[in-house]
Amino acid sequence: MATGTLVKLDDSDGDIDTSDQLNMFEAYQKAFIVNGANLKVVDFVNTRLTSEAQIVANIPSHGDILTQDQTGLKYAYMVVDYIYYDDVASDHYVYGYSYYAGGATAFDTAHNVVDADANIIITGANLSDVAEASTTPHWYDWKPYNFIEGETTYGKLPNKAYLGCLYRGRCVVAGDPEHPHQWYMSRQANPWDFAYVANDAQSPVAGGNADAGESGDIIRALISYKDDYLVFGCATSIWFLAGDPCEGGSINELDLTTGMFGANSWCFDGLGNLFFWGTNGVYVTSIPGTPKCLSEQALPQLVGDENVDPSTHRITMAYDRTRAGILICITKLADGKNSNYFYDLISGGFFPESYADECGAYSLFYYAANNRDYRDLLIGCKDGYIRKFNDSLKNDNDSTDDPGVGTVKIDSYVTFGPIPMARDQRLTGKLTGLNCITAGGASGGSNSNDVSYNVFVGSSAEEVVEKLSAGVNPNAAGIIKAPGRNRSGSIHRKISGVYLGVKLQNNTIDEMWGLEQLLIDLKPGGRFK
Amino acid sequence: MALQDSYNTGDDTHANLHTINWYAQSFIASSDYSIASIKLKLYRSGDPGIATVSLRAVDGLHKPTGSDIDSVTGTTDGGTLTTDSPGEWREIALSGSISLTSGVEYAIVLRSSSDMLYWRADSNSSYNGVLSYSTDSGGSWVTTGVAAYDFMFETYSAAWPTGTIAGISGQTGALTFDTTGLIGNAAGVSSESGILTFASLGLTGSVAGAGGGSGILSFEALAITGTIAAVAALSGGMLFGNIIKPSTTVTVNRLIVAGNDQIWYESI
Repeated sequence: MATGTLVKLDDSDGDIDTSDQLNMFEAYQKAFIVNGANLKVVDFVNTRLTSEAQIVANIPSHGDILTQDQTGLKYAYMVVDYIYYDDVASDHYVYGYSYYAGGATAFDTAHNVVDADANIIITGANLSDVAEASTTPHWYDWKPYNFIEGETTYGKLPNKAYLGCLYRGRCVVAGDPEHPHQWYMSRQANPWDFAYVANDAQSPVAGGNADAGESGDIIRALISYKDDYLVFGCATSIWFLAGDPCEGGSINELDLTTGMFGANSWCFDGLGNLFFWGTNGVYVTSIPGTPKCLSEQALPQLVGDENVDPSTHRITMAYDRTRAGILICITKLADGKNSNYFYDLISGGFFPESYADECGAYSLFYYAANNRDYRDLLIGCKDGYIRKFNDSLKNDNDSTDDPGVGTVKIDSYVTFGPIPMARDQRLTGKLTGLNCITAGGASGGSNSNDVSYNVFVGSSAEEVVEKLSAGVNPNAAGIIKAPGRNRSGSIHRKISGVYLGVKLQNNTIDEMWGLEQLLIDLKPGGRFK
Repeated sequence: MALQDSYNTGDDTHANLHTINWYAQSFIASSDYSIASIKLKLYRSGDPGIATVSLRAVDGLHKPTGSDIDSVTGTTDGGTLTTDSPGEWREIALSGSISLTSGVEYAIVLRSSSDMLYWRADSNSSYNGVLSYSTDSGGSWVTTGVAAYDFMFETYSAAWPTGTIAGISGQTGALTFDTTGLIGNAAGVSSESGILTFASLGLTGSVAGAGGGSGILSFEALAITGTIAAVAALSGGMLFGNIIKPSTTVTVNRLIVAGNDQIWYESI
């Protein structure tokens, strides 16, 4: 199968609930899934040995090396990663990284497997199966090492978890509804050890976030920032862990006035700044740092207008490396209705956009694929398709279209204003000309299609804003021919007012447009009466 | 003891002997001699018990055939071997000497009474011998898949007599010593021509060609002490072939998707 082809992991069918909150993170060449009570592992690296007899003596530990002598100087070796006993199938599974010497190419089911002290761990007779992750990834429950009901040698994961990440080699989980303020960390380099002891610097750890004497805040997001900080996005506050909790680490407040909306309502840009949806809109902060609300000036009513709720909406954010901006997607879970924003990192502007309901974004992910054709921001949509933005398409794609084909027209516009029409706000001005230079018109590159314009004037700035927002009854309207600069782009009708607003738009199917420059000619008018 | 035949460098792997798994190494006797002991490079894990060595004839495929020659064996306590994987040279005295004929191929056969005895081997050997193994206590032997391997071994004959060895004057021919550890002087017969050779290791003393003689004074020797120098100044260049190779390490990214209560993964 070619790169880019998705293959279903048959063993996973029905084992997870994607209608419930689900998160995944990568660690040690495995994917760890936290989906409430469904804590699972997709293992892409290990060999699995199946013993038909339970291993009760000389139980190998994580990191032990097992050897299989296949005679004729052929040896198979395994570094043990994880073992567990399936008491339903009565099989004991040993997972580990395999390597070979002397011409051996795989473990076989004929020879004993022994440990470093020559103790037989699995006899050749009991070794019933050898399965390679390279053939089919392994799928199994995420449980403590050699989990046997009732034993706590390697601790216990929480009954449920909806949040997870990797931090300093530790698997971190949180979001347990029974203990919403609690987080849990595995032993370093060992995702199977959750025995919380304080004996060594790599010990598993559990904890909460609060000032002394206070109960912890509800954790809504786990954000690992390199190996330096672990950020806890909580309901009404944000905390960060600096360093390792068992080796001098400390928990500090990042902000006590804003929380985070949800598990995926955050992202990092290329400079290590953390963007997130907080109490009052879209914020940005460094770690550590002081969060700043980016949307409070441009979109002061953003939170009220969107009226989002974690129980009904999902907010996902991602850094679009190609277009140098932050994509913020607000999607209603029930029907896919969506409201999205592209925050342009270069201009600092917010660009609202919306997609068809079926294309409402449930997840965003920048995939750094080895194949550059697949290297892009991916959008997991309500209809089950994974989409990405295609700059060469003039229309949007929906569920009825073939991949790479779009039949839904894109309605896009930009507004300018309110623009004062005179230097003195007690005076009026006259609009005597408007010219628009659209993109293209040279020998190379793409050419813009025609652009429609609407001009609104008013006696106050707010009046013009309302007219722009309503978009009806313009004082002047027309078509600007494209591409490039055209004589027909000028208008000569004189329009008087104190403030001016211009809306440029294209909502024609199979068309696209771009603006290079908007030129407005104004002359002084008389005093405002 | 005098070293006779050997392959004793370049080991980078091992064979694991245990009870029914026997191993053998063939060699061609370089001269006629009575073999008295065999040195093998061994190590252990746990207590492998008694290790037993013997010689057997070989068949046309260089595999041991028949029973132990003259019913002679040698044993050593495997439990006293080192546990370090580079191993140690363990000399195993035979219960009797066996006369070997120059040019005839023989097999050294090793087995242990318990598990975890290791015999060091070279996985990319240039030695002209054949390694074989048996999984039925020497009943049948296999050479498949181990063509490039040879075990570490040394054969020894009984010590040579001390004293002076001299050729008979007026005779022509070769005065040769198939020996190691020769101490004393060896001299060619004056005015004789021919070759004075030592198939020798660790030769001490002085060796001189006969006055007026022509021929070759040669040492097929290792571990020569002293100075070896080129007669004249040498010029040339340092040649390295193929040092920088492309990295064989690649990072593979793979997309994993959860949807419709299933996991999907990108096929790479």
